[in-house]
Amino acid sequence: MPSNTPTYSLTQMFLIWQVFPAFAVGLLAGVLLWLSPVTSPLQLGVLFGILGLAIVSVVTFLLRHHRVMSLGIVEKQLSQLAETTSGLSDSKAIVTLLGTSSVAAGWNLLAERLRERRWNESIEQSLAANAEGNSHDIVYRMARCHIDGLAITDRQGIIRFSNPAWAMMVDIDEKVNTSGQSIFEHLKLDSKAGGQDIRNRLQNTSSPSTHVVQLGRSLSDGVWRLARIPLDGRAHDPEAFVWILRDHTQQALAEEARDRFVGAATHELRTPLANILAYSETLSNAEMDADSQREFFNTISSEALRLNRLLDQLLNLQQMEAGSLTLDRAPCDVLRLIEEACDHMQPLAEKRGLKLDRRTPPNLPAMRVDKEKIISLLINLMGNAVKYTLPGGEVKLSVELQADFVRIHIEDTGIGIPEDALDKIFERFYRCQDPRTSDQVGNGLGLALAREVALLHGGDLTVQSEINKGSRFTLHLPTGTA
Amino acid sequence: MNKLQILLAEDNPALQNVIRFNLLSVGMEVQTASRGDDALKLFNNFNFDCLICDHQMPGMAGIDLIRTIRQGNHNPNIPAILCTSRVLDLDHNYLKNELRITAALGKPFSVRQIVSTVLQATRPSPEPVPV
Repeated sequence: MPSNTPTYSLTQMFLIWQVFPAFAVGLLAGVLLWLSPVTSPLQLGVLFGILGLAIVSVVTFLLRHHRVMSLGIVEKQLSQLAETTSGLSDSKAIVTLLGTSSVAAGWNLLAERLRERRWNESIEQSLAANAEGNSHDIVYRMARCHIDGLAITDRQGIIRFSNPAWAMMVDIDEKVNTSGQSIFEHLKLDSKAGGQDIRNRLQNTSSPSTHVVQLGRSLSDGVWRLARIPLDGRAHDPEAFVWILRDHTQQALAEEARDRFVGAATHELRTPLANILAYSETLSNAEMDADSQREFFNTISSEALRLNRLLDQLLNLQQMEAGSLTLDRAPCDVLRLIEEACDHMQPLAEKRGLKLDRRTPPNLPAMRVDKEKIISLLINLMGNAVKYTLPGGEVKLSVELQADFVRIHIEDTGIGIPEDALDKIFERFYRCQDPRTSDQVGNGLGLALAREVALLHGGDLTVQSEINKGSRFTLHLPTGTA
Repeated sequence: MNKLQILLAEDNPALQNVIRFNLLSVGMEVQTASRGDDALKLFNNFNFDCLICDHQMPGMAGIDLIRTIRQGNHNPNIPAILCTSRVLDLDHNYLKNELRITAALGKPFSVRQIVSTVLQATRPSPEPVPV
């Protein structure tokens, strides 16, 4: 019996079960007596006996199978009849009617209690029936459409139930009946890094546990979070286990990116700090002339400024990502912005022996953008192009006007970006591990900032690149920016 | 007595400058390189008494530079001091036992510490310095 069944209903049912047959037998016997001419005590005894047995067995059957229907209409009609006939002189008839009506009322109470009990039992059964594949109950359906992989096994790991998400994650056909298969054959832990340890731990203990399983050599090949919980919470001797399999890949990748960011940020922040400490320590200890002292103080202040700039950029990025930095938009002539950025870059390009080419259409619309931010974005992109293009090469800025977008391309004939780095270059502090670029200075924040500025304008920043041919960065800006 | 000859490989110009200043001020002679591969060329052309190198350097990483020197024929047992801002990421057993480095100094470090480490490492019978 479910523990949540109210005890009073059982007690009441018991009382009704005892009282009702006796009352019914007495009543029916009275009616028969009243109607029939039988008078012999023996005949009466037999009649009472048969009637009593018949009624008790019917009621017992009904109770055992919970098939009791309410006699609502009968009860109502009988009591009405009793009231309307109360003026009659035949008191015997009135008593019979009232009696029958109260029997019907008792019957109805019994029916209601039984319905309650039946509902509770059906919930219990539905929980137990999950493993049997009973597709008609709500808990089972919930388990089937759950986003996590769910499975129930016996204590040896033989599957009794699994949902489609489970089948998808362990890469088997979801239409196949998994019942009877081994959970360890589904998980194939032995072929995964650290999987044997996990398998051993799962087989040696039965307490609730969670494991992170990496599917391939890199995190992007997939990561699982596997939990196993003993059913009924009896960890020492479970009847069965519930297994929950969750796709942990995105979270693992985010954690990895965060670790990379913290490592890189620490390195970038430590470099100016190391210089400040080394110079101030030297100043306080060593004998030196006034010129050297001045030079040392200048270095300290420039390193402190560098540290400050780095923190500013980080803060800017953080604010942009959090959406708390607003743009200072005003109608701008895009051509003027491009000219300004190109004028800034021209001396640098010449110094490096590069040709700076600019191709702009004559009819560019005025756009509402944050002038300073767009100019520094263009300078950043052109600066990269200049930095990573060998002398004699070319940096080209061109503008493409489309219905809704202005696309500004900055193209170079430089060394290109390796394919596996293309999706990481917009990450904060990411720097290509490319021996060809390792002598270029930079803190790895420029492109991250540039993309954020583009996104804040409702646009985007994209890249195409080919090794030793060059790179092309495209700034997409919506023309209708209000 | 001859002056100690130091090879300093560090790509950050400001840091290179201040370390050099401190080594010079205690009477050592210093040659500098800003790239790992340049440092290796210099190393092979002179007889240095001690090598100070950054780990993250263009051209060749500090650890690779020391490994190349240890495996080569020219002055393979030179005392080597490694400077890095990622001192925790490195395998210290490998550094100490395989590369036989004198010390790994984490940035930010004290320039005095560098000078005293160099002096200790270049003593005729050097005391072991904890890595």
